[in-house]
Amino acid sequence: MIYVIGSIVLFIVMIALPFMVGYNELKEKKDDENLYVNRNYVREPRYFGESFRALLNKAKKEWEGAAKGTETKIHLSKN
Amino acid sequence: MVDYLVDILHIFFIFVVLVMLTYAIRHFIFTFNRLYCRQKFYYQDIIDSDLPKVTVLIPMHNEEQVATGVLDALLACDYPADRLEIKPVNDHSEDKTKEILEAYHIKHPNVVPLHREKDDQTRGKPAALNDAMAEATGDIIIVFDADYLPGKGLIKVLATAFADPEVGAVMGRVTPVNTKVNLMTRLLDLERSGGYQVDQQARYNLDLLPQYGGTVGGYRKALLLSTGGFNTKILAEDTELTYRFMTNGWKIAYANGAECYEEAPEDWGVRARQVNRWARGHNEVMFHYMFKLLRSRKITFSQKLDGFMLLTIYMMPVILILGIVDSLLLFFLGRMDIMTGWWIILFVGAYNTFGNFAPFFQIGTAVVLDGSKDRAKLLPYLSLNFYFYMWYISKGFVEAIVDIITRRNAEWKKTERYRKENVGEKL
Repeated sequence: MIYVIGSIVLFIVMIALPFMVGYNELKEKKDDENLYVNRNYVREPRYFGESFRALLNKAKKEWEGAAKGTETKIHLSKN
Repeated sequence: MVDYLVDILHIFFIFVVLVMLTYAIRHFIFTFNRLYCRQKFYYQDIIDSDLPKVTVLIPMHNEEQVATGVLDALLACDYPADRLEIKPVNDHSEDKTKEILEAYHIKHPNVVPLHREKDDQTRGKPAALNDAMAEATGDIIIVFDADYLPGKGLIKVLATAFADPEVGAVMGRVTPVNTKVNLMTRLLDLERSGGYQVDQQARYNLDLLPQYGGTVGGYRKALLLSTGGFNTKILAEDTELTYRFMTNGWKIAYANGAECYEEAPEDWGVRARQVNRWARGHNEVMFHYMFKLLRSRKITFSQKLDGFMLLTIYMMPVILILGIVDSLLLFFLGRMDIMTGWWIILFVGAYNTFGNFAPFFQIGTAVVLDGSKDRAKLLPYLSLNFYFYMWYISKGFVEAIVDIITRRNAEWKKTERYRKENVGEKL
């Protein structure tokens, strides 16, 4: 009889143990906030294209104002 | 005769084991892909083309509690106003939804509501979307459910994908806004993480089949209209669109960063009806698209395989129930002698160690990728959902079979809202 009772107790403990850890979290609520979503996040999908065009336009102005035969360098990097 | 029956039971038992094993492997592949493999970035830049004209559709049925939330959020978006039309679709509402929408229309000309009020009109989301698309001026349709709260840059992020001419539809990520309410919402928060952070992104990484989810997503209007619009007899219009586009060779993009808050169901009854509806709709799509999927020459073998497994996923609980009945019959007939040998212990041990662990591994990984920690302690509670979903998904499967046989129109039932503030009362 003792073996039967022992087995049942052991079974209940084994089943309940994983839930106990979760039960503590349900009671203490350490991590129950919504996942953070930055609702103010914005990005300009044409940022690359427009930056590139701005660099070319700037260089074009320099080239148009320069004397004939002058070499114009276009720096595609800001560095 | 009995031996013949036992043979069938044995074959079905082996079939169930193989099915379980296949889906466990699928969980592992997706999870390992997210953890250790090269990730595919969503579309970041449009080099020189204009943003497309977008119409945002918001199907609404008695949404006075949440209507202003979604409209205010959309009006705050940074999408160019001259390229954005906001079209809420009032589908036979009996509360103050109509008055709220008209008030917004007066203040904001690009909010152009459509009121569906005739008694003989087919009700429900697919029919409402069809009517709204007929009036929409945008080339791209983006859909939000009424309880969603899109962020400022969300429409631009979603619309960017359509600069790729191969993309037919795009899907963003859904996150519950009411996670802390109770155990149900906390478990749904875990499920959503696993479904989007791992499942959808891994499918996108592997060039498989990210699923268009019917909200926080968009599609090309002309493409859908050219194939006849939404089928109003199918409850899961989102899954149907996914398979219709995919079998015709169009890509579906997934934007993990296009996150949007939704209101998750807060009680088990509402969740049961939601899952039941999803299962019914998904299985209707399975009956309609299985052969089209297998016959399609516009997709790869791996896409077919993923599409097949996704298509049959809402049939699995039925197979598992039958598997349990099968094993009980074999047990009481004393005929569980399917496979014998000491190596079976290794096989069972391996499945108990890895196979059963697979879905928890996937969701746990998603939680870690999301930067969370303690919410992973609730993972064992997901096992409660197993039996809950098994029942309601199986019910949906049976209903889908009846839908197909009788060709009846399934009645659309929207998910209840919980937002406390009743804005309609203030007008």
